[in-house]
Amino acid sequence: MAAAPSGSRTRMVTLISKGGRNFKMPEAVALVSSRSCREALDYIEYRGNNTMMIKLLDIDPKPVSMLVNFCNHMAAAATSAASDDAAQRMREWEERFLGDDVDQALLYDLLSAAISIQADGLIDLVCKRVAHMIKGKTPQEIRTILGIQDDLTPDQRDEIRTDNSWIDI
Amino acid sequence: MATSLAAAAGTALEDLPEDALLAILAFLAPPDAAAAACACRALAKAASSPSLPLTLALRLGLPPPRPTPEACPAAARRLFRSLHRLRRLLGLWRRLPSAHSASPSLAAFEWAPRATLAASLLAPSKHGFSVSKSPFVTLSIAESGDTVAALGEVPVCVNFVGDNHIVVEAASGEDEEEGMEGGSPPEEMYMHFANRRSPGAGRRRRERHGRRKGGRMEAEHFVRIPDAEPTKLRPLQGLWKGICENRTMEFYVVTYDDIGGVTCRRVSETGGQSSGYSPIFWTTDATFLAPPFSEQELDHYNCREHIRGVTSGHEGTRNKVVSRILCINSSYDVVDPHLSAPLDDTRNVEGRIWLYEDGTFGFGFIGTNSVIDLRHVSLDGCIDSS
Repeated sequence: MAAAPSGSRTRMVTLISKGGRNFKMPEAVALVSSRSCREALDYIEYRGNNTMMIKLLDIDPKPVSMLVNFCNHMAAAATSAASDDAAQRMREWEERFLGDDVDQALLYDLLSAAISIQADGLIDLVCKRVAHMIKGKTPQEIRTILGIQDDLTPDQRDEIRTDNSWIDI
Repeated sequence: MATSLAAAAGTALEDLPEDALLAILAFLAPPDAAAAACACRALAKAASSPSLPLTLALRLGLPPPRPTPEACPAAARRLFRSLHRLRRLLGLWRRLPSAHSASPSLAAFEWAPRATLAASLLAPSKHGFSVSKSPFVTLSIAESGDTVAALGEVPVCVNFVGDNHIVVEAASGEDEEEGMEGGSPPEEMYMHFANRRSPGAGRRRRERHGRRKGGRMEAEHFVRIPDAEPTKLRPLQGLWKGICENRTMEFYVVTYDDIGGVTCRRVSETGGQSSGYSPIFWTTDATFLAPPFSEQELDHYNCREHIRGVTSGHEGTRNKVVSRILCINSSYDVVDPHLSAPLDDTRNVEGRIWLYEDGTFGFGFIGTNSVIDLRHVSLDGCIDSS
């Protein structure tokens, strides 16, 4: 990893969303959550303003902002001692983080943002939420809940019926 | 919770890249993943991708599975199902009593190298608090993507009957493979009953197989021990080990019920039809007494001897610091079968649990002068053999 120039400020990671909005977090915060940042820092060389720029130009500002919020929270949690209380507080925070105001479109954008920087903790959190919506449902119920169209080809239907004859598709 | 329909102009599930769909499907059990695959083309493609079992393996912290020679969607689905099956077997299981088995009553299924699952039988060691582990069943994933299991040299089947009950029995040939293909809900129930033979034919086939391999194997049933470790809210729950009144080590399972009660049962080596899972103490109210404790309570504890094993030294003889106390009940025949109480005396015997600062606890009963101290068997998912 390249050494920071002497007298430098804290190194930062900046995520750039659609529309060119910047969202910054300290490098130390990004390193806790983002596998991409950890891997990239072995190769990049900071120059000038001491900032690593990550372009997420196809993702709206709100999910990128939420992603930075998640990274900040994880970094703060990492410094506190592990305990049942801490685990319970984390679960409660995650419930509020993906609260009722997070619709599915935002959920999927958040997943895309998390995958872009390989924030595994947030990937798992969002995927568990979507998986919970699917669990125990029939294919038609899944289409209704997730708002997706039935676009299976006849060949795909036949293959599915062969392998999963008990499912009514 | 975000359960509303997707916004008309927003990102839809089908717009997600395949690795996002794989990440979602990896959280689903095979029947749910199959239902999701039936919902739309994008999910069908992801569910059939050879990357799905890879994604699941990575999430479980396993090495990437070897690609199956067939490299087709059916092979990928078999591999996915096998990984899920192994994951579901992880943990501690208790053998149900059998007329023919005198083997240890506890089994631990743990990950072993190269994405195999190794089950060990746990038994009290002859030395202090140690737990001895002897090899039991090994499960791995064949090149075809199917699960294969063996008890030493003998091929066996490990089938689920519901989520918390498994049957380990000798494999009976190619019908087993057919039973594991395809999907019928509930998959495990189908395979279990499909693989059962008529009493005569199946036994003859299994006997032939067993004799070839050097012994006849009876089907062995295990039930899961859920919540094998304590939590802050349930400090007594879990699987414990302790030196009992006859100076040997025994296993104890403590469970909480839905109405605030706690029950402890001793897990003994099973032999014949006698139950190896007998109640030791219970309480309907798990509210602890907090310090400062009364003089009477302190006397109850301080005058007692902590039971040590035959080969134990001074280990654990010092009174540990008690952080909380719980009132419990037992019955005369449990506390001491030799107590001179009338046979029709059904009164409960009162006792105490002394919860120590280090998270372990001891228990004893009014009228006796001993404390049975218990220690964790499993800590952070690993068996503590010490």
